Amino acid sequence: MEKRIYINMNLCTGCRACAAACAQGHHDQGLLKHGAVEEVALMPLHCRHCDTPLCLEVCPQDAIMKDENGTIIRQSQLCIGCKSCIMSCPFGVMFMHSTWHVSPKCDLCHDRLEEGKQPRCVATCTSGALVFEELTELEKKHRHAAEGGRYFARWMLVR
Amino acid sequence: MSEIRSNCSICSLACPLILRGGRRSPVFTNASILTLDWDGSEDSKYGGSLCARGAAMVEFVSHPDRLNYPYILGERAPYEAAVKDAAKNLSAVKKEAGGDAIAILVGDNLTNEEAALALKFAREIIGTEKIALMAPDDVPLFRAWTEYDLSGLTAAGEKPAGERQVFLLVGDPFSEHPCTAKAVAAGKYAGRGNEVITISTGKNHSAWFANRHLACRPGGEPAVLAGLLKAAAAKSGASLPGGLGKLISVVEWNDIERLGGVSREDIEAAAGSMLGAARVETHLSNIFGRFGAPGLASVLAEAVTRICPGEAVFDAQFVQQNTWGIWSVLAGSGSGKALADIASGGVQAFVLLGIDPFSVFPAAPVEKALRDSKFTVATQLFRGATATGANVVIPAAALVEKKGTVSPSFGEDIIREETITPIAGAVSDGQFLTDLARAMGSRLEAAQVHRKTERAGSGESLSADWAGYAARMKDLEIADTVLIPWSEAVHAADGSISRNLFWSTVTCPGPELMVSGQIAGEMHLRDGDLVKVASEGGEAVLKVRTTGKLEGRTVAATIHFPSVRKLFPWKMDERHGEISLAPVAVTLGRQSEKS
Repeated sequence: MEKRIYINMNLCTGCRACAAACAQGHHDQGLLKHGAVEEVALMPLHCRHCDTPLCLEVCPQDAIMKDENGTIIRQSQLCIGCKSCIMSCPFGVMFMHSTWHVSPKCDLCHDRLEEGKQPRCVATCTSGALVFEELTELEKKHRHAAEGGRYFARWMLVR
Repeated sequence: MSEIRSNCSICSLACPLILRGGRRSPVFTNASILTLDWDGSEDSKYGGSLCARGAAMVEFVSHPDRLNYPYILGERAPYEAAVKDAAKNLSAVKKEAGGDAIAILVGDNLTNEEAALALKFAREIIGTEKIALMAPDDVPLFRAWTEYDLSGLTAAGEKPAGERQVFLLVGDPFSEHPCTAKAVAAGKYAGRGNEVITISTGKNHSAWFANRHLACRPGGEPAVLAGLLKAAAAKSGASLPGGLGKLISVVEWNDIERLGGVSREDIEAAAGSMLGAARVETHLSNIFGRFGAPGLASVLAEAVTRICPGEAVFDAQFVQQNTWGIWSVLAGSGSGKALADIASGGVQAFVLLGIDPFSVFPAAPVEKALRDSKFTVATQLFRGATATGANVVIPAAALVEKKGTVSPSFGEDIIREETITPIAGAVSDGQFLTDLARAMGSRLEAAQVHRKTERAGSGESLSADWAGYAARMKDLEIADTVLIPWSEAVHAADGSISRNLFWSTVTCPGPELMVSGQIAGEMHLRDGDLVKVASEGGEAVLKVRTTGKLEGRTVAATIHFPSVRKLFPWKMDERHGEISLAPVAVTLGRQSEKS
């Protein structure tokens, strides 16, 4: 069961509720950022949980791993804060924690997934722009977004 | 760990949420951990989503800066001593100058029961009629509701066939109350031909979703709404009752185009679209009176919605949660006029309940009255400017920590029977009033609360309101530059939440001046340059950010910062005792290059 988050940019209002919810659930360290698109819209930037994750490839400590659901998870105990993953991320969604000297990343709220709930950002999305669905379903529905590209974006964008 | 189904207490929509934990104590235990979840069940409002402000509810109620104990003259004191001191001073003022020398200002942080208790306290124990609800952003809408009777208004013609829906958004409901976005966006894509019409200055978040964006001049929303009503009445042949009909017949199209800044063709096309829809839904959002005349805009928006033959839904969204409930409890007590009476002077002592007027509403006349008073007792959540200045400060419980009834802007009243315990040391305003009354030698019993929200008045003064609005808009017409009050989604209206969310410093780092491309080009401004902004109310030096959301000679600034707020002159309307805040004329002067 591989489920991924899909963002429909036609619906995003840029209210930043997803960022608030993420920070609220991850001890005040928001793992989700916003990028301004041409000054007129805001877009949540999440980890796309790539098929061939560069962050995993470059990590010298093997702190980043892929679990059975295809979620890319960082193990905090192993991370030495070398920033290799941050530099390698093609989407620029990884960043440094200013005080802990490690690079935290999106874990798809696996604590909530175990309870059978949706990730925090999806559950609180105020306009229904974020959807959490089976990967196969998403590929069927949004084929144009899944086609092409070296890195298969699990967080797909349509506009 | 207990699970409490509660409601977000930030704005009037009252989205459902679930709080876990809740037995909070000064000693840290597992049971004192408080977490929040969304009520994701299908039947919950907007599917249970929460906006950034609602998601920060736990941060807000457990913030380390919250007051835990009372202060007397800035010194930490026991609760009993603080109540005794307040009772002694209030009794002395009452004996010396009479009950009329004591005023009570009520904010939004009260339940309906507590508001009724405050009214009883004012009348029976103090003996004053000077009790006023202070909510400059919401009160104009309430006043419009009670003063203009629209019951004679009927829909024009038969209900159109089909299922076409039209959403009319006035202002920026998606920014102020993002939870509405889910319902509106779902409706927009639900069927062919569904339409979102937005009336706003500049391209805000709501306008981003609009099929038809009626981009008006700063403060031009009421004029565009008047145009919509005129066009709809002419097209459908409907007759408008009383003052409404008189106003629409008097106002000319060239006036509407001049004040509103939208062409007649665009307005008529939008009106035609609304008349042909099977369902018309209007959301009016008004933070800090950003329309030229919020009351007028509210009446006209409701009238144009109800004249449409389709199913009509009108929703005015208030900034604070329980102002509607408190307003209806205080209705008939002359609360509207009381604020003007307070500002006219002669008040020696103040009781401030659930309001931080110095930080939130720095209205010059009220601020002067507060500074001139001999004694002030305030119930406060944070140690803001009011808590620093008041003689006696009582740590207050937040609205979500209180049991009682609250009235959201639409839907049923919420009766909160179970809730989290207040943060250690905090007492509810009702408890404080009861204790204060006992210390003054009287008994105060909780009153039964009924909502009384009947429409009254004829609407005859509508043309007077229009004349006042048109006169005020003249100042903007000849102005060099117009400053629009702006707001950011992550900020609560009173700025209190913005202090608690760490990322709000990232998304909105400080008081910035957003300038249009035209002004940036003329003044050779780059992002980060400092500019001195001067208005009738004061002046401030702000950092510049160029934006594509503004056009022409307009600038905007986020109103949640005190330095920005003082740019807006807070005008007291003597007739109703309310404070208005609208776009203002400013002059810009270059201060320095980016450092």
